[in-house]
Amino acid sequence: MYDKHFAGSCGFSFTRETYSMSSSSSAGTETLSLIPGLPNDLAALILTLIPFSHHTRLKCTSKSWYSFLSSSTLLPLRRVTLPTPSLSHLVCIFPQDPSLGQPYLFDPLHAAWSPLPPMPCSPHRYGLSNFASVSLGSRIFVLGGSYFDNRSFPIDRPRASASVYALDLSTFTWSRRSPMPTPRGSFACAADPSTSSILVAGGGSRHNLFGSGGSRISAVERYDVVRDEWIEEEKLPRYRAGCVGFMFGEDEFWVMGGYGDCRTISGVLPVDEYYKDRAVLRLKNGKWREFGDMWEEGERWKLGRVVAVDGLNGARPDFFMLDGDEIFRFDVSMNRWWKESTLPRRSPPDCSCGFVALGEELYVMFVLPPSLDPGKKSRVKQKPPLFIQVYSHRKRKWRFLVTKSPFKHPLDFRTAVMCAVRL
Amino acid sequence: MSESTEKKMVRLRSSDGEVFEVEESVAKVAKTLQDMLEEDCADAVIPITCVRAPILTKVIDYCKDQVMISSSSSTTNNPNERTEQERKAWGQKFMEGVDSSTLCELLVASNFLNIEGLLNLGVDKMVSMIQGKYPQEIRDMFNVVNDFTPEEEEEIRNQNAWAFERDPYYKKRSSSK
Repeated sequence: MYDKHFAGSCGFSFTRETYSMSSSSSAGTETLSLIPGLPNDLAALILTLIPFSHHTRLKCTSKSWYSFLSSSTLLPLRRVTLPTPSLSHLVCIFPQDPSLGQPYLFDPLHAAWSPLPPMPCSPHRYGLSNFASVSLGSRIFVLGGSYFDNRSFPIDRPRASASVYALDLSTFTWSRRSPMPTPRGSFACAADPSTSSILVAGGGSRHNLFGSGGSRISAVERYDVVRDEWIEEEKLPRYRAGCVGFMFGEDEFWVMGGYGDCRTISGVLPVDEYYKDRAVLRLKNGKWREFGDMWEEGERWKLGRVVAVDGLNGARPDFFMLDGDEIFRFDVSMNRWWKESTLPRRSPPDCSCGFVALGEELYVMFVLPPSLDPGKKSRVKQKPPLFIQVYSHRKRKWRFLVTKSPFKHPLDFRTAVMCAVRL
Repeated sequence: MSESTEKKMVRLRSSDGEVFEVEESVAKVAKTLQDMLEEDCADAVIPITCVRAPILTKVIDYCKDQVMISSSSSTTNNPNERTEQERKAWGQKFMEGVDSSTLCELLVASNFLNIEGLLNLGVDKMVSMIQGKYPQEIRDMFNVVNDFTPEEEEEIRNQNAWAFERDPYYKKRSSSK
């Protein structure tokens, strides 16, 4: 089950050099075993198997624990040692502009929250929204988005950002990466772990504060994470913004939904033309292929929130969509969405749900509205709890979680950005 | 397996000198012993230098059980075959009441004797013992020496702390702020 000889191959050495905090230590002759009476390779294996959210608390046990649990090789090691379902499946939530509002990691299994450092900010930029966030390995990337620049004129015109930041979860530090060749927000973005790259497609400059407007682009680019380099790919067949992207196997990058042209009602009110189709980039030959509409006219006006659930043992993912209070599953051969289930507890009116896939389960979350019961007036002052409905598509069963969200303001899932992380 | 090998007995001596006589099939669950027996040094008493008698008893219990499962699983419809769930429950029961020092010794023994199943059981038990505990509890349990100054410890504690719901320690900390 576990490779007990891994410790020799990963280059851990329990020498004094690995300590970043060795200010007060005495003579260096003491043994540096993690657990007395246990060989260090066994103790290291045991600590590697501890869920990620428990690591920080255990760090202050002793210096050897601190250096082991802070090591940058620990998270890669967990991925090698542990079978995928046993890893910690976490969700990273960005409630707003990540340089202003602190992002949080949430571990649903242990009902634990951890604040993350805010993204580095620029004095000129503010109000970043519609950015994309993907995880690759033990890093979370934040790409592009739409922001305001206090040096531009007119000052209230949003611009697309090209910047890319990475948050390393083994050190909890942000670093700036090479920017995208084309600035963009509201775009399709997916990480391809097989080549350690990130694909981005389409997008535009629409900002959350304005329901319409903003540019649309068709440029497609690929980011090589290891070399910190961007490569241009063939453009999308049509301009497309507000779309979502997924890897399908190792060879296909799917882009679904989004909007292209804009028409006006009675010459004044702009209305987006939402796409019902999907486009697929074959990475082998670099060509796009368009697939027809994924639903009939009148079924829905635009694509709901879509997530991909990884298949077992590297099998291709299944796609699920949350549309209103219903879950749909995508049928690849028919190119259609079929109804899978309905939320057991309907979302409150005028409330948007967060939708994320963790492990093999779908998480639908919304903030519970404050109780209207006059007898419980004091509850209104408290932070409203987050209600999570979890669906297992394999068992076709729902379960529920309620957690106190750590955010100062109630989460608005229309604008919050989320990404699933496996550590 | 033929009749003669199944009856063959092997003698094992623990570090504190106690001698255990077990069937060869039981001893062979341990890969290290299997290799030794196949190289035909089985006549004498095999010294197991790093394992004390009470631990060896527990190890032999485990091996005996493994033999019972594997000997019966060759026949169809056997009542001893366990489902995944039953195996888990059995493992939990086997490890029930094992304290931290015994567990360490068990892990060392199963590592030395190369018994993968027992090692995995021990590792899982250890993981469940550690997770959810506070550093001081861990130190008490495993005799880990705290070599941090109180200031250093406080500094580390404040780095990216996870807040666990249903956790009195963190609740107290966050409410006192």
